[in-house]
Amino acid sequence: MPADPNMKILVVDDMSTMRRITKNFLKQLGFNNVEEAENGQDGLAKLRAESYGFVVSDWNMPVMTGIEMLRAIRADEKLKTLPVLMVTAEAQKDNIVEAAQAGVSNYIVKPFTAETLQDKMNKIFK
Amino acid sequence: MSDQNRKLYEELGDLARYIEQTMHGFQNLQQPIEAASHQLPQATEHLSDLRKMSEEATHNVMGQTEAIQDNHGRLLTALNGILARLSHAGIGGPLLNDLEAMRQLLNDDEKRLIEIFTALSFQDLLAQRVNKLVTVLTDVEHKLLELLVIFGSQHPNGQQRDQGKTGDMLKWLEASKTTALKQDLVDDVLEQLGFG
Repeated sequence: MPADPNMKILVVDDMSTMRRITKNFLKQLGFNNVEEAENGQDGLAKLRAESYGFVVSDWNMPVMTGIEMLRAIRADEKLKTLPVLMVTAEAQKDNIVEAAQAGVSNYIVKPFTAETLQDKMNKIFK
Repeated sequence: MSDQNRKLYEELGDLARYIEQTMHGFQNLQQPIEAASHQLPQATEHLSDLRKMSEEATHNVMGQTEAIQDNHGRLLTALNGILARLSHAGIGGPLLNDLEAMRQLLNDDEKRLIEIFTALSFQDLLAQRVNKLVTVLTDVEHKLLELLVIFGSQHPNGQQRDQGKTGDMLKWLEASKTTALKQDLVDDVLEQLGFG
């Protein structure tokens, strides 16, 4: 099913510049309903409080990492089917395997372009 | 004294001299270790400042880029409206071609603006590397402090902390924080001095 342009998207990253870049790319792709969280814990609280259709998350973050948040999402009965795209500078094979085992929907290596984001979203929401 | 005892005595003497030399070596190391342990926190702080400055500068560029993107969006909407009205009125020719060319230019610029945003991703990578460097430097600082505690400090009042080039560079960096006046402050000072 193609992505709903009105769906609420959560961008989780401890770096404010990266959140802004991701939001800008999403806006260019037609998604304007985007909210932000600074770490996995903050992100998880927002996901449990409101309804979201998609999560774009960094891996390395203080308090709670992206992979920890992903595991918590997959373990949560209400959130377990939520698509999660991991956006990270961690490009080691072990990281990708770990994310795949944790149930990631797709994986982007930083730095990335709007085209790459669109390509990955198309694959997730096909 | 038997030969065996003499040999043992000589070996103990060698061992004592070796221990004394080693202790002397540690004492020589103590001063640079102490200086480094005091300089590292400053260096770490400057690295963190660098990260913050790059973050602020990146947000500044992003803000301007977003403003241009918004203006482009409004221009494209207006242009599309004009083109639709001209088409509805059956007007074509050079005017329509010029407007189509303008629309193409705006679309090209839109792609460039997205590329600017993409290029600004450098700040995230820079910040991540600086964070890792800060972690390493903090760890080294703690280890040096442990060494100082073990061997005792000869310069508890901080004498000779900032000697050498590293100390000079750190002093310069520290001074640059307060001496780098912003333009509005410079203008205030100039105005007070009678500059128009």
